[in-house]
Amino acid sequence: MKVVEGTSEAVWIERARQGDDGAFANLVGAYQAPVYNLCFRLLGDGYEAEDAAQETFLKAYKNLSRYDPDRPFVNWLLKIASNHSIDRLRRRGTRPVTDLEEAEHLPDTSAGPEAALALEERRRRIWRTLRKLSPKDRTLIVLRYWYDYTYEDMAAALSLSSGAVKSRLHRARMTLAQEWREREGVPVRLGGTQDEPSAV
Amino acid sequence: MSHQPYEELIFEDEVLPAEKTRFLQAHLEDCLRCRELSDAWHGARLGLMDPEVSEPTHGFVTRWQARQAERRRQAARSQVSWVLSLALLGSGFLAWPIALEVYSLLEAPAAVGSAVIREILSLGLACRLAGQFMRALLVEATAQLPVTAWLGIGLALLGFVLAWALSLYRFAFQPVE
Repeated sequence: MKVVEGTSEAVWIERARQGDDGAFANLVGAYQAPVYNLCFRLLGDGYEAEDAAQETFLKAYKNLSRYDPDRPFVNWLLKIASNHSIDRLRRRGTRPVTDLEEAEHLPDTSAGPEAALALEERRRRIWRTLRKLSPKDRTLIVLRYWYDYTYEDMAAALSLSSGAVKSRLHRARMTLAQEWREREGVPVRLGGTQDEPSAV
Repeated sequence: MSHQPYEELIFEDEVLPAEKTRFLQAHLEDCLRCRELSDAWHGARLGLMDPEVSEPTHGFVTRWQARQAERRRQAARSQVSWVLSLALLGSGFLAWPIALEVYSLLEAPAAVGSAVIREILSLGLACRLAGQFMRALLVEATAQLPVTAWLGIGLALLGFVLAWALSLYRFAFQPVE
């Protein structure tokens, strides 16, 4: 059981269920970072991520009676956040978002300027690559690689079957690899070509 | 040939057992497509390993509380609008027969004056009769009921009025949860 500011999370949840705004504010404080981070990874825009994270907590507070205490609270929050972000991405359609792409982060130069630049370049590149995925596939990748979700957790979070999660992840990884490769200027071959000289 | 089993090994997140690693390596040596896929995936995977956690700017909780309060105000305003709309709708239904009556009176202007006078006279007569009835009732009740009973009746009436006012207030202004 997670402890939030010296009090058990369950106690805050119970108080919030009884209408104690302050108790829920404590939960907001405790989980703002993971919820915001997920929204930011999915939406790629600081302002939109803030708005989505705020809406996530409002929805969570409104629907707190539906929360199953046998499951981790943070997972329930992240489920709301990911579904909300997916809806936003679908509504957004093709509208471009460039926050992550346009160097929102200040490069961390603690490992040296060259390493910092390489890291920054990799961040931009992965973001551009992630944008090629559908909202749901992007969410699966983010939950898997940034939140260490299991297949079962992802299935529960996105209301998918385990089989659907596996096949979607496979497809998403394939797309990521192809996009990653294409950004190097060399497309990945889709057909089977054995015994050809290596391009790398 | 199907590359599916090799793709699954390439995309495997856990460390592969030695036997499966050898099996995959043997295939990668012969298959350019899977070798390129493997290289590309390892590059992308490195990008996905970025441990940086983005955090909201300072004051997130305060902003959430402000937003929550604003939503409640909006809900209350919406509730008041609904109550007023329903009241207007009800008034409209009640006013409809009256409007018809007024219209029929206006169709015959000569009759309007006499109708109004007749109504005022009958209303005055009704008021007078009601006053006489109430006076007789009070005289009779004063003779029959003790002072404590009057006090009780007064308090009960006051209670009803307060309960009514409180219900109206809660219905109109208390936010929806």
